[in-house]
Amino acid sequence: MADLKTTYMGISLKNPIIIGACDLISDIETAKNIEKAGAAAVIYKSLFEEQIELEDLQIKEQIEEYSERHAEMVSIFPTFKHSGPKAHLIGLKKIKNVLNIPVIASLNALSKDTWVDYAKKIQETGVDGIEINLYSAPSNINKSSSQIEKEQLSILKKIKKAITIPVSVKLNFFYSNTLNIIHEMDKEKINGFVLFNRLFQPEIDIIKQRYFYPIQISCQHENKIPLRWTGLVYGNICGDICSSTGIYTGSDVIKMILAGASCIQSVSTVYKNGINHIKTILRDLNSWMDSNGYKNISELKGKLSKKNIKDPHFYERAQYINILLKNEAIIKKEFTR
Amino acid sequence: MKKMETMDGNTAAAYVAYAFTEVAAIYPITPSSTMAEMTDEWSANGKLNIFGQKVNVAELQSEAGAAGSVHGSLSAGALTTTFTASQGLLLMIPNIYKIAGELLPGVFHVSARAIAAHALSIFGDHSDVMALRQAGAALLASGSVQEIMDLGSIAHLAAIKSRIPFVHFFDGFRTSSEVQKIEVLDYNDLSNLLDRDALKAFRDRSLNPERPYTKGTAQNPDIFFQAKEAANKFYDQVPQIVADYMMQISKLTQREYKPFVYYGAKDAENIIIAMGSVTETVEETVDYLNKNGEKVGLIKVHLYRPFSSKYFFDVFPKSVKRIAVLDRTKEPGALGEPLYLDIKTLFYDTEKSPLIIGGRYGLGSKDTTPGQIKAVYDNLKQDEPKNCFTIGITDDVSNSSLAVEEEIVTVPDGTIQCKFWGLGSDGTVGANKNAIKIIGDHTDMFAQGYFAYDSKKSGGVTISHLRFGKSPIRSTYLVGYADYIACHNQAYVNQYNVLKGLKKGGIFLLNCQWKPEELGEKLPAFMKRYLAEKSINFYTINATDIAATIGLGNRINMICQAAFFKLANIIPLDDAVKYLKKAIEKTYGKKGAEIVRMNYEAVDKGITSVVKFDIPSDWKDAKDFTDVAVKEPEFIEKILRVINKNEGDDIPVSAFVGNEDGVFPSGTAAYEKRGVAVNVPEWQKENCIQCNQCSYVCPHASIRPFLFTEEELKNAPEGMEALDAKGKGLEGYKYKIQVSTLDCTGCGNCVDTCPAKEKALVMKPLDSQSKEMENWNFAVSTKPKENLMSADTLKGSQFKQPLFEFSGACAGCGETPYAKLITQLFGDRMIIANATGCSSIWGASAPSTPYCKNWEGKGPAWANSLFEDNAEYGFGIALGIKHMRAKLADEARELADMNVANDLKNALNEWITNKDDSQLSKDATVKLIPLLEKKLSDEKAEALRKDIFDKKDFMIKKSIWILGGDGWAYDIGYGGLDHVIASGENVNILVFDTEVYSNTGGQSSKSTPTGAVAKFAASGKKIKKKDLGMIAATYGYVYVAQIAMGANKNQALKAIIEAEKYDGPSLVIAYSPCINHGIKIGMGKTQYRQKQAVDAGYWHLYRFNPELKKQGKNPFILDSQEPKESFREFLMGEVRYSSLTKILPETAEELFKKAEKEAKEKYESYKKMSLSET
Repeated sequence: MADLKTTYMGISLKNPIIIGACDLISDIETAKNIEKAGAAAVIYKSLFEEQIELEDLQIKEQIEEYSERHAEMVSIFPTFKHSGPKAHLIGLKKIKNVLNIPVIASLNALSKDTWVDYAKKIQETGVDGIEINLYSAPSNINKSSSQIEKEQLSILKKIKKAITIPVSVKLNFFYSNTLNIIHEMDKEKINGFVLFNRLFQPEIDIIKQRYFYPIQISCQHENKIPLRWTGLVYGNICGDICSSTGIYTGSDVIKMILAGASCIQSVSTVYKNGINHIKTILRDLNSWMDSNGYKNISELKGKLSKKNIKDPHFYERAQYINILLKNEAIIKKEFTR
Repeated sequence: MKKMETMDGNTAAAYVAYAFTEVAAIYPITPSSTMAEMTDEWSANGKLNIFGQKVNVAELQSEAGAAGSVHGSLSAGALTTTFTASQGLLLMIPNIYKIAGELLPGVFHVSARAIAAHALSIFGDHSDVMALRQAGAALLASGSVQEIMDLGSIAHLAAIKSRIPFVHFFDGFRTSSEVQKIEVLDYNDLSNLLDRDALKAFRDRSLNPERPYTKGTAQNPDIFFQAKEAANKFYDQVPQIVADYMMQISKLTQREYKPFVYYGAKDAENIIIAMGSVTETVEETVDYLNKNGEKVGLIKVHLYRPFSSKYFFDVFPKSVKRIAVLDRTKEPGALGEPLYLDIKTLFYDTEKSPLIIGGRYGLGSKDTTPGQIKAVYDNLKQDEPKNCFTIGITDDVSNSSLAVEEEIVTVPDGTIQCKFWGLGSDGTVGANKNAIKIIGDHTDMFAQGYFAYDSKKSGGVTISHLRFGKSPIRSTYLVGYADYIACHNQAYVNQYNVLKGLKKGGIFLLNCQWKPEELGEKLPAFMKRYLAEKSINFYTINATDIAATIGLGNRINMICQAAFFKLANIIPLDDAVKYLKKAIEKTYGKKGAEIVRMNYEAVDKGITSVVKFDIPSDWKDAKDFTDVAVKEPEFIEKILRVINKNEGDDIPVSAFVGNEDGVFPSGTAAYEKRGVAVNVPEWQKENCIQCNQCSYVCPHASIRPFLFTEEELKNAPEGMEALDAKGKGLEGYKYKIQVSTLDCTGCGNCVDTCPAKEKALVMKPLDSQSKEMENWNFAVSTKPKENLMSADTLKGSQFKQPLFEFSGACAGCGETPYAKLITQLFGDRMIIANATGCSSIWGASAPSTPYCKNWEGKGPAWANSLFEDNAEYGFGIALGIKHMRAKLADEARELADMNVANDLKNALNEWITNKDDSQLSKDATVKLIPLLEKKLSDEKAEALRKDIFDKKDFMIKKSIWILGGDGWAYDIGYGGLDHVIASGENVNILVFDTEVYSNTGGQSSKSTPTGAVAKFAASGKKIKKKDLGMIAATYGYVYVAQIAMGANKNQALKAIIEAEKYDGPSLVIAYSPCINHGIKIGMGKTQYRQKQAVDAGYWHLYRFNPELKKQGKNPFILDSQEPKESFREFLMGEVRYSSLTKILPETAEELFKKAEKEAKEKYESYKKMSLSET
């Protein structure tokens, strides 16, 4: 049996399998089963400030639904004040208290002050680290990329200053230069990078002619994106890489580690194949490492990263036409290694 | 720097009260409840009083209880306050005597309200505070929201210094609910005014074993009188103390206060003396009249008790020759009303005593206008002014009323007056409050808002009255002359005269989905004429479609608010847009760009989408379309129709002659046909299994099964379809489910309940069902087939005519289906004593009476006494009936023993034998009455026959029902309820258990379960619900049942029938989902929620029948199965619980666990009871 231990955000993990932020982790029994199945760490579901604000709005609407309809019933509920992240933090603390594996929190806020305030509150729960979920879908056409990046870096700087537990960043790859922003964040001593955040995408129903948001779990083929960027980033930053999106099998995990990941995050495969699939992934990883003579993760980590392969352009090819133009022999060689 | 805020009178009172209060003992009553609610909320949120503490708030079981606790808390040395009104204040009177007698500085803030007499009124007058005159408390009156802020503090300060308790009062609704921009006093400033030595002395006098004493002794004739007189000096000092504090407050605020304030011409000859909100209107009128060359004035009374002649004469102009005293109360049989008599006494035996007359005004919030005040001054100018006059009504019986020659416009120049017609809960009122806040907060303008509501809880109208101006607004009356009127509901153009009072050239905005070219057809002629004749600037906006398009659903308020700012032009439009968007950013900024965008768009569209409509000149000649006149009963024509057009103020006193005792005819609700539903059920006959469950659960009795003979159907409207009736005894009949679409509120419980494989009911737009009313009218014109099937079955019960129909209850109300069912079972011989509360509001909001008569003219006789006494009231009815029937039985026996014809003798004996059986007494009565109609030859026998015949209405066994909510049964009326069930008397008590004070706006009761959020339990109720049923069951001889119709329809029916049949007291507790629960799946699923409640083990069904015990059986039958669904999920289905997870997640977890544990324990204990040996 190979040694599967790895380190992520400075946290020792018994293996590279982390179960990413999802609702599964909010239920104590499910979280325990995930731990039992062999996951090395879990990311607790994201604390979304926007969700809190929307809940606040929803409560207001619910309590006012029947207001102002009768002289004696101008209102029917007392005035409520949403407790903010309190409920989330209680749930987080509960999970931290029942699991033995590291528990990492996830945060997405709206204002700078809240990012820091919530990060501090999360730290107080005793979690092992915090994942900054930099999700946003810019809708302001007048806002430049550099402005957005500047704001994100500023937020990270403040958070790093305010808390002592390790901080990772979960990114999407829609940056003009993803490498550069990771590099800049790395300079802020971010301890880990999750590549990538997979966003829900809108859909249009052409029969009903309306838009909607379908529930879409990630597909295995989508893991080529993190694979590329893991390979590109590895060796260029101090922080650890955690690959994410479309990682379904032991083979997928091996690929990510070969590209340079310290660990991976999976969610969709657990939804699709069940919690015990974690065991299968670990078994396949172990068996592959054993059959290929790897004794520990560090031996294969980054072995096929950009830094360590012969074709310097491999991870940079982005167009089909470019591939055709390259030397057939090189292609053949790299693809058959 | 003055701190200005917009707030209502109750908020102002609560604000100053909080400063000086250490303990508040409270109980809800309209319109004072919000003072207590705010105190509770502020305390829960950690607000500190001037002593740096949170106020300790405790809700009691009644106002009597609250007053007792005020007394106790004061005795213990804590500054204690309460808030109340009306009947609540009356319940406090015994303790006010005690508190005054013991010289304790308690403060009672009272939003003065009418006392129920011939009818209940939740609205304002001084009947309540006037009942206190001799109790020993000081009475301090405020007339405006600002005065409440200023004088409310004096009540506390002067109480501490004088040792006399203070009742600070202001007009219920008119001032308590009026929103005004006022200056808020600083707690530091108030703290500086406190006499700390007096406070220390108060604390030093408290009950304490360190320095014990005895108080509350029983005194004999030798000393009681003298001891009472010893306290005179404390009263003598009060005016001076109050005047001193008024001076200090005046210095602080630059607003002049004295115990009596004079306003008007220095050399006035004719003046009015009054107190309360009317003084503001009088001031406005005085300005108007003096500007027009008159010399009139006003003395405002602030300190009414102790009444100080010194301070009165300090301000009384020597020039005054005539005085009109206005009283907002009526003292029947007195020489005059109290203030009038006080003023008369003041001048008795003085030289040059002016002519003094008195009059009544404003009872039950009757609007008092400047025109009426002018009429008072005009009356004073008469050679022989009318005394004991009334204003605001047309008294064509006693001829007391003063005619209003003309309505005058007395508001200062530049004041903009606006009126908005909205649908209850459509956001209109909220948007108007926001508009006041925006203008109040961002400009130096003053703003005022007053909001009038419908008495219906479904589909009711709201009318907002707004004023904006450069100077403080003193118009304490409804907007009569409007610069701007908006109607946010297009249906109102045909129901009300929405344009009434719109000035010539004024602005009218109609929110409608009609295109401009449709307006000529859609608007009624009277409206078109008004628009044309008054050159109204008429605009339309289709806010309904705009809101839907931009994603705001049915929220039209922001769009209409923006349109208002554009058209009314009160502040520059750019500023208005800026402020509106700033407010949106503040409210929604963090809630996502989409929400902000939608609201921004609403503002922009509200401004750009108003369409000016050029009124065609021929609208001046628009002709009324006259329907074929349908003759209606006089009451309907002269009262109901007028009130429902919002013109009840025009009804003269004579309309009530013959009904002076407050009696209203039964069944008037059936004439209303309000058509408030958006969608109504449509019967799908091919799917119908004829179970009648739709009818059983309908809260408004607007869907019913009908049976027809073939013969009857020959006269049916064309196209009306019916099925062959199924079921034993129904052979040969035709069956139809018929909906009264104009009476339906569209809740959808019928559809949800329908058990057919394919639903036999489908909700369809009301407009698509126009044919159905013709079918309905035909169906109800046929004779009910009530006895073909036993009413003891669910199906059979629904062939009985509901004698409760079309109430104004909320759509989906959980209470009314129970009320309807009992009328179907026992309505023709039923007397109902109804506690005040939701069930008395949907039971009898004038002019609408939903309790009605059957085809024989029989039906429930319904009456409401009070809130607290309902069990005793019903018990009294039972005693009276029992007595009358006993006498009747004696007489019947005596006559039967005489030498009368055998058929009469037999009939009398049959009745005597069966008089206590509901059906047999009915049968015997039917036989007996024709025989009693025949005169007897024997003189003595004839006298007896006549006596018996006169009492024939007592022959059929009566079914006495005592109805009320949990606030009554568990709290305020519990003592009485307990006594009545203990009495063993044969009465039936039905408790509509909504687990909260529903009618007064959702305050916690002892029925509120652990973890539920309610007012006075804002952080979730910490203690468990009282098990009223089990307490009652301990007597052993009380029939007790818990039911939930939606969970088990047969069990509910069985329990109600058993309860009625039981010859003794019975108590049925009915689970009643309510809007106060915040049911997330909607009020269309209230029946389903009952099922969920039982399935989750939240509500348990059982029957405790003492008859079984007599038969040697276990009297307790548990009808609930083992809980099979998640208790927690049930809780999360309602806002009253789920909100706690967002407000206080830790507490929620703890309380929900506790609630679940308690529910399980309760179920286990019931189970144990059901299994135990007898």
